[in-house]
Amino acid sequence: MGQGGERRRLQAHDGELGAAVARAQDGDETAFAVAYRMVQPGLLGYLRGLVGDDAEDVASDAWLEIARDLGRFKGDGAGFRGWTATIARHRALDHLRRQRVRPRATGLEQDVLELPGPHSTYDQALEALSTERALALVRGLPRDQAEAVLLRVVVGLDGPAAARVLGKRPGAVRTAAYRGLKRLARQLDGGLPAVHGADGGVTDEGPGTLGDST
Amino acid sequence: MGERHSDDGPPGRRRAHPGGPVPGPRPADPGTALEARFGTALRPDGAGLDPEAERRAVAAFRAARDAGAHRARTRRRDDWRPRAPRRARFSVTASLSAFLASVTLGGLAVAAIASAGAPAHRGDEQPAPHPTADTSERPASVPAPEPSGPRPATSQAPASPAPTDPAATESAAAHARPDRPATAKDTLAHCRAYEQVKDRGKALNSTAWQRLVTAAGGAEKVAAYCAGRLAAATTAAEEPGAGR
Repeated sequence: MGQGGERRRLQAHDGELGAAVARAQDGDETAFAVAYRMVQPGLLGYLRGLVGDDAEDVASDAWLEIARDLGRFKGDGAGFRGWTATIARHRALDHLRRQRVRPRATGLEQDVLELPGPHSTYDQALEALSTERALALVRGLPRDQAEAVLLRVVVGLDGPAAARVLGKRPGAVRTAAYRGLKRLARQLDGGLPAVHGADGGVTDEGPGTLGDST
Repeated sequence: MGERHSDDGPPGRRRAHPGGPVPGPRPADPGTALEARFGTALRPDGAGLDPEAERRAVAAFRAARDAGAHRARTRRRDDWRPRAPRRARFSVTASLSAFLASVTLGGLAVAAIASAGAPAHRGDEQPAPHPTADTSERPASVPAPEPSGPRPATSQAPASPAPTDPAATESAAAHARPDRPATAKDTLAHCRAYEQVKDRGKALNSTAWQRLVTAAGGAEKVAAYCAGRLAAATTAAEEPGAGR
């Protein structure tokens, strides 16, 4: 049971992805579509954590750049996921910068508060974590923790690759991912009714968590 | 009773997980199951992908390919190959500095041996060389007249020093002594110390000793080589000493 079983699952396809990228670099557009389908889900999940509902738009921008610069890329399948995540991240940060200049009602807090409440029954919370709720929980994390968790869990990058995407030291990213996951685990438990009342720690979870909305 | 409880406990608790009021499988290590759940929740499956977005991406790919954009040069940030090249570059640096360090330390060790061993030997063998060595030191530090050409660098092979060459020794009366290379002295010092050091493990692996062995033409010839050197040095030292 090592950490990152999810990551391993994603990485299992890296050979296939690397081959598709290589063929795409030789000009094969079908192979490019294959690579797109393999990479896009993780990229989109990561971008949703960063920019919420604008993820599709930002991903579109990112793919234009990926398609244009594909010839420059060097590396294998895992490297391609890291490379594309870096491009997507830059597009997302650009997007956030533009948003800050021209703010609009995005309402991360609202997202959290208006959650439909799939956690009302224990089974649902345990078995099927809804996309909305998972997203709200991750976006409730501090940015560095959220990004570290997303790159690891959703994009499937290993520590060094995630660190390169974020431009940080691997140790810092590992710590951020660990803290983020720990906090998510606590919040999942805290959201369960009458469970862990003693140590569920609703109060120490900070504002905007599910514990407050129940 | 107590036994029953302890027997039933763990499986009962495990069974209770899916529906019971008992706490869920709180991951002791935040990872594993939790990661899987978030990964599944946050990563849209293939069916959720927008085919229109894919079409746009592929169109952009085609346009870039046809425009020749894919021949662009790889920038540093585009190179995601495994880090092997960087590590290799690092190891070149590392091995170079390790080599330099070993040379320096080897030199220090030899210098220590020479400075500790040489005076004692000179003391009981021959009192004369001492002042000779000193006088040869002083002019050498001044860029004095050097009729015999450029002073030999210390890195030059010790096989060509003045003492062995009878002609050089003859003409050495006035100005060959200043030119007497430091390597010659080193060689003598090494020869004197060699007897003491040769049985002591790895000392002979250091660069200076290797040089001596190379100059002698093999480890087994060092004794003979040194005997010749010491004899030559003694006569060379006595000659100017007598001339004075």
